Amino acid sequence: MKRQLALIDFALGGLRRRLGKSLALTLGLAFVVALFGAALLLTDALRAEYARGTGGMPDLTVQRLVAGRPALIDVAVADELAALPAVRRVEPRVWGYYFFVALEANVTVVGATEARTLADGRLPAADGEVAVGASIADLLGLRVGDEIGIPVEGEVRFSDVVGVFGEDAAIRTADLIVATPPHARRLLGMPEGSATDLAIDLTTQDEAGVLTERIGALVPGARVLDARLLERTYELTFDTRGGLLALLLLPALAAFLLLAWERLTGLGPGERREIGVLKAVGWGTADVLAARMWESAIVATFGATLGAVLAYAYVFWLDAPGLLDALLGWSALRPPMRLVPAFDPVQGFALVAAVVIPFVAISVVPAWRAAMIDPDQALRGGE
Amino acid sequence: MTPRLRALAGGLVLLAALVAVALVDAGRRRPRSGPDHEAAVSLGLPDLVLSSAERWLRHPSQAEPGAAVSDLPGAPDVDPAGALIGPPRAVLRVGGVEPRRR
Amino acid sequence: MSAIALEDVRKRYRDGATRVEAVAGVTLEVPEGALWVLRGPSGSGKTTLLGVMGGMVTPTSGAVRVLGEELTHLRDHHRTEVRRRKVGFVFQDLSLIDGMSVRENVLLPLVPLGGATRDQVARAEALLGRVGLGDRIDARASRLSGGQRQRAAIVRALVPSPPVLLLDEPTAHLDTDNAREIVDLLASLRDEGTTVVAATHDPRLHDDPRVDRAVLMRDGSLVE
Repeated sequence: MKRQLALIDFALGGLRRRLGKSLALTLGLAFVVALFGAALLLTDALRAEYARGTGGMPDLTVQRLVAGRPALIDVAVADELAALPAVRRVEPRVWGYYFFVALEANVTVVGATEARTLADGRLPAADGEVAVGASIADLLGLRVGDEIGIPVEGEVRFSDVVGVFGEDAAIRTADLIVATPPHARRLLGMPEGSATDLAIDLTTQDEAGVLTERIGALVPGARVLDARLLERTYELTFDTRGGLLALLLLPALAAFLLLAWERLTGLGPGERREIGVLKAVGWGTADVLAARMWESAIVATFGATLGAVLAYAYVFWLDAPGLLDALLGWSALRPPMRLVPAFDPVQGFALVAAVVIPFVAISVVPAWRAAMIDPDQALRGGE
Repeated sequence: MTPRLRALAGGLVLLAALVAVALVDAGRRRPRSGPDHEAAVSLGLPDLVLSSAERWLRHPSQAEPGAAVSDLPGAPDVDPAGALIGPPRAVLRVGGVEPRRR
Repeated sequence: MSAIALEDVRKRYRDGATRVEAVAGVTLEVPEGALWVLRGPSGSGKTTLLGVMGGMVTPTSGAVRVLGEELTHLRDHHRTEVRRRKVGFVFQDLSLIDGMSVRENVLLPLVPLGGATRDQVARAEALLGRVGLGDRIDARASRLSGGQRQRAAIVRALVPSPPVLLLDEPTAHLDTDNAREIVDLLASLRDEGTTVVAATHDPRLHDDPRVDRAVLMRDGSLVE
């Protein structure tokens, strides 16, 4: 313990003697950790956000394909499917996109059957009522009690705004116009008795595979989507994007490690001499190495922690300017982001493994090589 | 304790304080599950309000598979050759069901 | 018991394709409490022989005993132990670390032992005072003159109180006054019981009457 403290003290002296180099390495490490950490924090937060909403998803979604494109499906099919075993409930859903010229963006029109209250207003209960998402309300200046006119097939259809979703739920609702199913059909220009897809709740998810086949046989052109599959697709989307982002950052990591390698392996004549002096005054190889390890450990601790905090501040306080676009793509109706930090320890460990461990390794190896030199060789200034 | 060790201890305390600030902040950002969130979940929507690659808005998971002009005619195809990492094949399959492992 | 005993010590280096025999079969015994000088032209193997005596250079063949302890069969960290406890070494070129204060430099040998105790700091400061560096204790090593650096380096070798002190060219590049001070210091250390061996080609040192014996080396062998 006393020995280690004395060595740490010596290591601190060494860091101070080479202040410029120490600072450059610490800041470089912090920068690289911050880049990777920000990508990690963002993906983890989005993944967690997604997971918070999967409970509401139907077990199976049945679409109908005509000529290879999703087409409207007859509501009557729902009754047919409801008779199948293991099916608890079939709900024809009405939803679709509407290109809002005023916003120059697509909004999503959704038909909702459940009556629910919102923090500000409620979901529509009668035809002619709508609830809108935060981005739409924001851009059009809508409040509960206002009227919104939506041009459909040459005429403007007016609806009363009875609810506005808050920012808390913006990541799910920012672009929504929620209406009763009949009203949603009118807004989307869908014929009566048609639905966009059918949402099926099962008594047990295990039957999904069997049912998919039966539905395929029953409904011509059916495409059945398993909720678990959707979930996995989404996870993969974020994994892929996070991975691509990390891939883009790899050159930064490589550059840093190269720089560190150069700085650390090119033991200057001064440092070589220093190690020679230490060995000459009775330091063993292990002592020289331990002092070097402490130097690297201090730089790594400060750099990595600083980087992690920087990443956190960048993502959650500054809303990740630059990086968010890469991860989320661009959207005319980008919701106000209020991400909830989620952290996956495995990923954190992976980050440490990818950045910190190579750093410590490349800083110790050259010192080890130098410390192995006989002091008399250091003395001769040779190899 | 030498002045240098004291300085190191001070630095470590400062680091710990920074981490603590971040952790406290993270704790305060717990998801608020108000009525809006529940109403949103009850709609059963499969996607977040995020654009994904070449589609403007959400529901990418249920939009037309592989339509080059699904956004608008003339939209640049961002990835004409295919992604670096392909999507799971099952997603594109009619009646896509996650293959069960036995 | 002799302080240092060498028995047919040889040390060969490989320098590219050619082999150099820096020490070619040296046998000698330095008695305890003696002041010896290894003299000879540069390249005669003095420094290497000094390194062998201090356990810093592993001989190719032969036996080395320091205060009765056989060094050649010891493993690296044991040899470090012996060196640390028994031998103080002053190199010609590897004197002080410039960025450190004189005090830090002088206390360096104690760092792997857990740092200096209060007594050791006091002893180091007393030694610095004795060699005339009492007022430069907190100065940076880079601010010292050549003679001051040499004296500080000797103090550093003495801080762990080793019974054997080995020096390589302790008077090189020093003016007459400084050189004489060094020689005085070595002689008084010898008088206090420390075994001192210095390698030098400086007549101011090897011709000094207080030197117990001056051994002449040439091409790796003892000549007289």
